[in-house]
Amino acid sequence: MALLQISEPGKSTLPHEHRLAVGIDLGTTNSLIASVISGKATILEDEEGSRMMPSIVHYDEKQIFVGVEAEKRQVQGPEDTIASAKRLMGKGLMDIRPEDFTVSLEDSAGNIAIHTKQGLKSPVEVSAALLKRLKELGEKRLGGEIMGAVITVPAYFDDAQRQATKDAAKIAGINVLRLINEPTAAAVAYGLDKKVEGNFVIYDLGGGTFDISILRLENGLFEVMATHGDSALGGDDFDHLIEQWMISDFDTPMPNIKTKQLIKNLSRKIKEGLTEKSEIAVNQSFDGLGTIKKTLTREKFASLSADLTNKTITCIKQALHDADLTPKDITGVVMVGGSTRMPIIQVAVEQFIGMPLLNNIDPDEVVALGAAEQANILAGNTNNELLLLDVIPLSLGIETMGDIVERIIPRNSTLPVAMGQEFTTYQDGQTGIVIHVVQGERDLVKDCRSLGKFTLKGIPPMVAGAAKIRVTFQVDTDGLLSVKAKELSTGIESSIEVKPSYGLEDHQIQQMLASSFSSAEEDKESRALAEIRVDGQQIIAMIESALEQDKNLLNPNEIDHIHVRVHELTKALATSDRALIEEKTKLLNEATAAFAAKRMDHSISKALTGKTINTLEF
Amino acid sequence: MTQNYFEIFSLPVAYTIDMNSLNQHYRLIQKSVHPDRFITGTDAEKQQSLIKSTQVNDAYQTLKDPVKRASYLIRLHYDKEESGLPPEFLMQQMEWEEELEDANEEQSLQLLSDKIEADKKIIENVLVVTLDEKKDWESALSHLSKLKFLTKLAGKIQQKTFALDVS
Amino acid sequence: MAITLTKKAATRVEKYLESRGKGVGLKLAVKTTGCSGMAYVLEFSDEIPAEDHVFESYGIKIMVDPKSLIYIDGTELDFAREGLNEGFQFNNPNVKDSCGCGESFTV
Repeated sequence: MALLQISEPGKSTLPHEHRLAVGIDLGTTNSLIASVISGKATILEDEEGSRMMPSIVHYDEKQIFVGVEAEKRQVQGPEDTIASAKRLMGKGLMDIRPEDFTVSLEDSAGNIAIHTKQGLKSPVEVSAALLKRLKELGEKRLGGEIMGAVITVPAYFDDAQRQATKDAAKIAGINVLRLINEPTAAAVAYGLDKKVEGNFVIYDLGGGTFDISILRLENGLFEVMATHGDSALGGDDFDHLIEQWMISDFDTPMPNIKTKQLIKNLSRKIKEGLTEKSEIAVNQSFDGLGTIKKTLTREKFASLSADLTNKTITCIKQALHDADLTPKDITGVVMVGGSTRMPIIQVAVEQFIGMPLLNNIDPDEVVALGAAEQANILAGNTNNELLLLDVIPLSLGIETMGDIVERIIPRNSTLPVAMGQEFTTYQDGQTGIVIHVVQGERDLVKDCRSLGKFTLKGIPPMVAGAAKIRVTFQVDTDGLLSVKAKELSTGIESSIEVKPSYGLEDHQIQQMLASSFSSAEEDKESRALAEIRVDGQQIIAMIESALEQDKNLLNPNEIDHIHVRVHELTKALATSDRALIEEKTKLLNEATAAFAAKRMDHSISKALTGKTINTLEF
Repeated sequence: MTQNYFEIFSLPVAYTIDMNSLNQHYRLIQKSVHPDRFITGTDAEKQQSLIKSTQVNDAYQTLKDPVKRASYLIRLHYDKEESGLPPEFLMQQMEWEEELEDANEEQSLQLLSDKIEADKKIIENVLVVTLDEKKDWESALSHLSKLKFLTKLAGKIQQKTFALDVS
Repeated sequence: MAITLTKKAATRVEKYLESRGKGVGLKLAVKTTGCSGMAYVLEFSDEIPAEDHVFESYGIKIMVDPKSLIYIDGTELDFAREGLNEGFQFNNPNVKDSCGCGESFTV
């Protein structure tokens, strides 16, 4: 028997139709899930009352252990235990330091593959295991099926890293409402909870990533003005410095993986200890290495890590510059991520901005809480009109002659954004063109991240230079790129074959999906049918209610046309023909495109009342 | 009929623009069309909202920026994209570039930057007259070329200042 | 009769109202729908509609419209926990049959 939560006025849902939405902070070190319960963003605790799940997965021959259970097995079986998988998302072996990981990694067609007792696993699958565990916890806590999730990513994640995160969610069976940037989520938590307005610096130092965002909070609109960061800088690097400091007196290499793991764990403890204490003494012997007897003071730690700290301050300067602001324009600094507990960090940031920091929401929880608030808004559970306008963190460009990058979408452009570019053929009769898309700020292709090669096919044969192919690069609100192409003189829609430089292909995702659900084949078929039926019914309901409200925007012919399509879909829904239902749903969507556009224009003119606006077609 | 960028924000088609209205209308429109508003909508709604929200962002970025706004306004009325620069300006350009090369400390960079900003203001004022009063597109194109150059130069100065600061 | 809250429920409602930062109390109602006829509505209320009955329990105001009251008069709202899930529960003396989900019922 389900238990009820208090809804916002007028937002109660019918039984079995609750729009349960969650926010998930998929962190390098820890992951959290939160949801708005009776109006309050709440961290969902596990059975043991833990609010954070270690982002660790352990594989043995038969089972997959996730979170605390995996952590318990880490010291005994570090080579089968994957921690910090987030650092591998959307990356190739060349992009990382394999020695930072206790598992053995190899290259698999440009992607990273992890050796486990259950065969090779991709970082996406490891993340999917974490997400699946969080989803199960969420459903137990909320007493129902989760309709969708907002998943947070570092603001500085590139297209491949974002896509990998979305793929992981798909494999975990999670409907992603939106990917949002971690600092933006933190700002939402502060903005909604503390009801603050002004310009804010969000300083987010997590386990493996560092982000700076500058946001303007005003009148229910959160606008990201600039973002900067380093997707390979985090608390782990501070641990690493302590590790090096500890073993600096030995000139022997690390004797074994277990000792390596123990020293790693100890380093983290020392770092955390220095938050409370001014110095920590070590006196411990390690198998195959000897005894470490040393004392680390806060001052010494500060000098060891001065370079890292300065790097973060430089990022703030760059972000402020991009936002066209100076430290005195800043209303507040929000600290996010467990690593911001380090006093050396707090002192450095406070000194630079010249004001006390905002840290009255737990820095470990603020991202998940903000994501939960945003999920609740997106799912339509509140009357809050808050809108987030985020930006693309890294410029998109294409390769031109001489390995030079031509920028097509500059970083910090507000999303969604699109840019068109014309291409032509350079040989007579040429029917294909390859476009290499890269992401980054550098001028040379080799210094940027390769996102993929888009091959335009089916260009009608013409003399060199006669074809005019208009290619549109669209980046959506999740920060993900899609490419469309059209030959202008003939109007032929060119087909595009995408070879991502990193990431999984559709069929691989399907395979992983299949292996993650062990249900029988017909079971899957019936579930797919049930899902598409519900979708179809919902679309009809939405369109009928839209017609009810805004029939006057259409002429009788247009209305008839929609009615015909609705009728066709209704008839299809009575059958068990999945392909037919899919087709009729698609046709109904096409038939209502113009109506949807008119309704939006109508709502714009309502929003701009007092001004005369006739038909808004653009 | 397709609306131009000014009409989208229900602003008069002119170089002189009420920034407050632009900002305010931009936000109101995004609140109505942004894809976040249609998460639970039909596919048709999602697609239309992506198209519109993208167009509104593009229009906003164009009108917000004095160079892009002038260039867009000229394009609405005049069938020519570029105009040559007077020889004396080309000479001036070279001098500025040299000055930038020689400026290696914050103070001299600041001085140069102040000078460029002042010149930019002057050209922007000239553009108000040529675009909004005289509607002399040809001469506006030439002023715009100057403004483009100065804006680029200002960016270079800022970058150099920034590099000094970081090192 | 009246609508009441258990002490536990009242404490929760008070906490939620406080964190929400606005609202005058709770609105309880029924909708005719759901898997067995009627479904409960439980919402924050930002106003006191003139036609509503207003009850008070442990200092919390509860608004019920006259039509709904017929079906839920005498209800005690409790706060309960089942496994990891926690939430509010309607103890409604008028219910003859409920759908098992606890959210809809017949009278």
